[in-house]
Amino acid sequence: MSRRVAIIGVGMVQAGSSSVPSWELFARAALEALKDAEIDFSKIQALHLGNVYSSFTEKQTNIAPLVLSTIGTNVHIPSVRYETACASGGVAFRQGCLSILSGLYDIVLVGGTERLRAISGAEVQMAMATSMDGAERSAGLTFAAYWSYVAKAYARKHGLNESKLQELLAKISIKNHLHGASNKKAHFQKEVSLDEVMASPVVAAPIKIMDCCPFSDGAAALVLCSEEIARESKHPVWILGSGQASGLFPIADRPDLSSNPAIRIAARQAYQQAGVGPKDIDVAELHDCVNIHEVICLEDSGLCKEGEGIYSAEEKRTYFDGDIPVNLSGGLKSRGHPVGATGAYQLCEIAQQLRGDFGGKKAKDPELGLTVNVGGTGAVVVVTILGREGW
Amino acid sequence: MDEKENVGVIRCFRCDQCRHVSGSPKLFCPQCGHPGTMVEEKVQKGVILDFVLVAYPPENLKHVGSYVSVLVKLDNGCSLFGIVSEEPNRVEVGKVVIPSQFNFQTKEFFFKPL
Repeated sequence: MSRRVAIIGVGMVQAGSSSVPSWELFARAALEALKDAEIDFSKIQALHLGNVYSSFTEKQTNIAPLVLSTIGTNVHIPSVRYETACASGGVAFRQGCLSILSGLYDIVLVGGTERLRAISGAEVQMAMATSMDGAERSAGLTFAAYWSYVAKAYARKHGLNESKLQELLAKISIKNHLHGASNKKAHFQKEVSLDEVMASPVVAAPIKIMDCCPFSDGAAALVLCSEEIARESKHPVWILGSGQASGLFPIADRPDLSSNPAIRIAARQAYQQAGVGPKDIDVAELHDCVNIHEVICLEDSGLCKEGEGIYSAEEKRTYFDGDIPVNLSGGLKSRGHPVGATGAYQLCEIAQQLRGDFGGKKAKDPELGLTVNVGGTGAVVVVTILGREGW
Repeated sequence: MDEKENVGVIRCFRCDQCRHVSGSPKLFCPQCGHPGTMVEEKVQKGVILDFVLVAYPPENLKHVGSYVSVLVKLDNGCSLFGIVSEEPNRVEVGKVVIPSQFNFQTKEFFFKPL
């Protein structure tokens, strides 16, 4: 990237169940981020906000300016809501970064917010299903079925029988819950056992309930700024690379469900911009909406070789003290999945890992971190590489 | 066409150049980039490429009850998802299925094992 953009403040509310609307949740996260950045909201020049389902779950659209009015000051700055399914937070972050790279702004607020738990699970399922192809949805495809097809395609490709696949997947959930148990911002702060995961009900074989993340309420915010301003801040984290790609929307058009070319493309862009490779990454937050997707993200982002990702948790490689620490927040499985905010949580968490002040399991002295944020059935992918001061 | 005649009729993209076919709407061929045409074709049968038992049907398919989601390669070359609700225990990869119901409005494709 020609100019440099930094994260100078992060804020997250605890993921879980909220009694306040999504715009108020985001206002709280924003105030935490501003405090962290040691700046006043009057300095913010624009708001880029990720949110997916407020029109369904809260009967409220146009929530970006509503966030500004909820904060109450500086209400006339430009604001926009981005909707790219589960990648909305990552896309909002990227657009904020691009707005600074364009030279138009020097300091912006970005992030995401979602409130899903005030309505019934069935209503949330219906809302979420709109993020996949409508024709395929009508033809009986569900999110759970999609991830089952993905897991089966992966197992066929790598010669795994169903019981072995389920056990290896369970070990990813166990790892993420172990990490999430010490994250005070996580939805589920508890460890789980192999027996618990394996005994959980099958949603769509081979996928079980404990392979899947919860729906969460939550909001996360970041203050981004130009290099000139960042140089005056106490702990800037640099945005070194940002890639985005789209995947084929209809699933039936995809030749191989065990891999997502959009992740590979976005990762390649991010690595090229950063001038680094997968071996240089010290810590990662990957989009484990279902644990098989952590495997796909590991392999398609190059952090693991093809066929190795599935063994990464069993071999402890992706544990906080392993050689590829992944989802030290607990990931979507344990930290939670406030859909439009998830990408923003990942970026806050990696920024804190690089600063050394993450409030949970920490990677050992990381210099470079990576996030993979994926929307819908893999149709939107944002890969971001962050570097600590000195890069 | 009455409802019975509609069974097995799908709307698909067919490339004017390389004849590539897809079950989703497109303007240009993803294989060769040449323009194509959306056509309605009647299919007689297909082969199951993969399947998933859906134990908890979504709201839009509650009326079906539990069913098997199938990914089918049709005899016109097109792949698409469909539903098997009759004789689900006969579903297996490689099994030939025939269209049994099709609702043009709701896009619900039902197949049954041959």
